[in-house]
Amino acid sequence: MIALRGLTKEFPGGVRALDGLDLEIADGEFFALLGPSGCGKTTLLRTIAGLETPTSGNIWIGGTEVTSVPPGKRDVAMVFQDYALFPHMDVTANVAYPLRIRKVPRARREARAAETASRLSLSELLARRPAQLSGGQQQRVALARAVACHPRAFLFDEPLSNLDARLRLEARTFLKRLQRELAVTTVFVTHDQGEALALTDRIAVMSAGRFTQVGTPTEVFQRPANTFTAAFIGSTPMNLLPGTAGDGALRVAGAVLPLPGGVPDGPIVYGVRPEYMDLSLTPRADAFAGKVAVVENLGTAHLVTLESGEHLIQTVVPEGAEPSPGTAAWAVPRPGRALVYRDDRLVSPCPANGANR
Amino acid sequence: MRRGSRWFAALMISPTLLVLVLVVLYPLLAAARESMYVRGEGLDADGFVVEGERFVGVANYAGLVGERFVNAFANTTVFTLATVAVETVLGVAMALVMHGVLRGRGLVRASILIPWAVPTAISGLMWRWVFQADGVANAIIGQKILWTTEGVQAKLAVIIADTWKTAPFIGLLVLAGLQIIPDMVYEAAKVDGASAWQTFWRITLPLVKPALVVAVLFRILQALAMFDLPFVMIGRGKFSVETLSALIWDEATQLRYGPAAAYGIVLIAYVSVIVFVFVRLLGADLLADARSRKERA
Repeated sequence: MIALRGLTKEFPGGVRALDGLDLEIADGEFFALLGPSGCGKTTLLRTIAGLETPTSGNIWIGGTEVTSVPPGKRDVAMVFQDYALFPHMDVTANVAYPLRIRKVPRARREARAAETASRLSLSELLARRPAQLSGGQQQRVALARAVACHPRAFLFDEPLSNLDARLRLEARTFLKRLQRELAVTTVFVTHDQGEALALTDRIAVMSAGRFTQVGTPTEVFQRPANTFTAAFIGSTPMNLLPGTAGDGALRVAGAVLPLPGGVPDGPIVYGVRPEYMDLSLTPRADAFAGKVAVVENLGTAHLVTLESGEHLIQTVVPEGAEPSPGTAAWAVPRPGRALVYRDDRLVSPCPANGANR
Repeated sequence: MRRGSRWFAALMISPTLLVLVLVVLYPLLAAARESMYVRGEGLDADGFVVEGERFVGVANYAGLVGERFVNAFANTTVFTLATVAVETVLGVAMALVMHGVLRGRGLVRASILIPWAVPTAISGLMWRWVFQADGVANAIIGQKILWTTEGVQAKLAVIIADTWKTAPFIGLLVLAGLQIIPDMVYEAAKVDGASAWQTFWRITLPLVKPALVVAVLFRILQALAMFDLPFVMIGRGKFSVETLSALIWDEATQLRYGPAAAYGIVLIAYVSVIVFVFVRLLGADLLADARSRKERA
C-alpha cells in the first residue's frame, strides 16, 4: 500500500509541482498517474521513489512512513523512461545489480537474474551489453531489473513511450499480464490516456500539481468530473460547448436538447464524445446543425468535423457513412451520453439512475 | 574491392602518407642511422669541428650500461610512475569536484585549471622559489631542507611541481567523461540502494574509464619525455633529476650526436613498449566493445 498525505513539493523559484496531494493506493493495485507534461506526475513518482524530497506532507509505503527514508531503503524498484541501464554491464549484471547491492551471493543473484530474464524472454541476451539491444529488449531488461529484486512497489516512469507504436501495444499487454501475475503495487506515470485506460485499475488525472479526478478507467472515461478531465480522456477530444439550462431544456449551439434531471437553470457547459453522436443528413431540432468542414479517416470509422456557427463539433461516423466536405449535416447526441458541467463540475446525474431524458 | 578503386583509394590517402613519411618516418630513420655513426670528432688545429662522419655500428649504444644512462632511465621511470599515479587520483577527485559544484562553477573550474595554463618554465621558476632554502615549503613544514640540491628531496620537489601542474589536465578530460554520463543512471543506482562509494566504483569509474584511459595515456607519454621542469627547477645536468630527454639534450649539445641519437631510439622504444602494455591492459575492453559493435552492424 502506498499513501500520501498533504504531499507538497515546491521547487526553488516558487513553482508548486505538487499541491497538497492525498491518495491511497491499495496493495497489488495497478495505478496510473495521468496528465499532460508539466502536470507534476513525474515529480510525484520521483517523490514516492525518494529522488525528490517533499516540501511538506508524508508518504507511507507498505504501512511504513518513508518521507525521509533514502530511495535505496524504500524497497521500491523504478523503471525509467530511458531505462537507465548501466552501459558497461551485460544483461545479467544489470538485472542482478540491485541484488548485488543487497549483498546477495553471486551464484544466487545470477540464478535469480537468469530466472527473471527467462520470464521476460531475455534468456538469449544475457551476455549482451545494453548498446547491443533493441529498444524493446532494453525496456524488458529494465523491467527485469525491477522484477528481480522483488520490491514492495514498482514505479514506472513512462516505460512505453520510447517504443514504436506496434511494439508499444505488445509491451502494454505484456506489462499488464506481468503485473497481474506478480501482484505488486504499481504506480505508472503516463501522458497517454489510452495507456492509462488500458492498463490500470485506477487512474489519477493530474493538472498543475493537483488531482482533477481519481477513479477507475470506466469512471474517468464515462463520468469525467470536470471539463479538464473530459477534454483529456478519450482518443478523440470531447465536444465541450457553452449553453444555458432553462424552461425544461438545454440550449446549446443552436440545438434544443432534453434537460437531464438535477441540472439547475443557468449557464452550463455541454459535453459529448464524438463517438456518442450520430450524423443525420436531414434537419433535426435536437441536433447541432453545421457544414462538414473536415473528414479524417480513422480506419474503421471517420472523424467528421462540423462547422456550426463559431463552434467546431466533431462526430465519429462508421465506415462508408462519411459525408463529403461542404454538405449540410446534423450531429445528434445519443440519449443519456451527454455530460453537463456547471462551474466546471459535473452536474448531470448517472444515466444508470434513469433520470436522464 | 575492385582493382581500380583500390588504386584510387591509395591515391586519395597518398598526401597524408607523404606527410607522415616526411615528419615521422624520415626523422626516425635518420635518427636510427645517426645512432650508428660518429660525427665531429674533436677539433682541428684552427679550433674548428672536424667535418665528416664514421660508421661505428652499435658502439654508440655502449652507453646504455653506463651509470649516467641507467640513472636517467631510472629517474624517468620513477617520475612517470609517481606523477601519473598521484595525478590520476587527484585529477579524478578534481573532476568530481568540478562536476559536483552547483554554485560558482565557473570560478571553481577556472581555479582548478590555472596550473595547467601556466607555462612549464614559469611554473618551474615559481616552484624553485617555493623550494628555496628559506622558501615557502620549508616555512610550512618548519624544516631546513635544501630541496633544489642533489638528492632524493629534489626528486620529490619535481614530482610535487609536476603533479600540481598536470593533475588539472586529467581532471579536465575526466570531467568531460563525467558530463556524458546521464543523471538517470545515478538515479537508478540510488533507487537500487547503492551507496556513494558503490556508485563511484561500480558506476562512475567504469563509465568514465574511456576518458580516463586516454588522459592517463597522454600523461604517460608526456611524463616519459619530461625535460623542462627538472631543468628549470633544479638545474642542468643534475644527476638526481636528470631524465632521458635531459640526457639526450646534454649529449647533443656536447656534439655527441651519435650517443644522443642512440638514447633517443631507446627512449622511443621504451615509450612504445609502455604504451603497448598500457593499451593492452586497460584498453582491451574498449577495443572488444568497438569490435562487437562493428560485428553487429
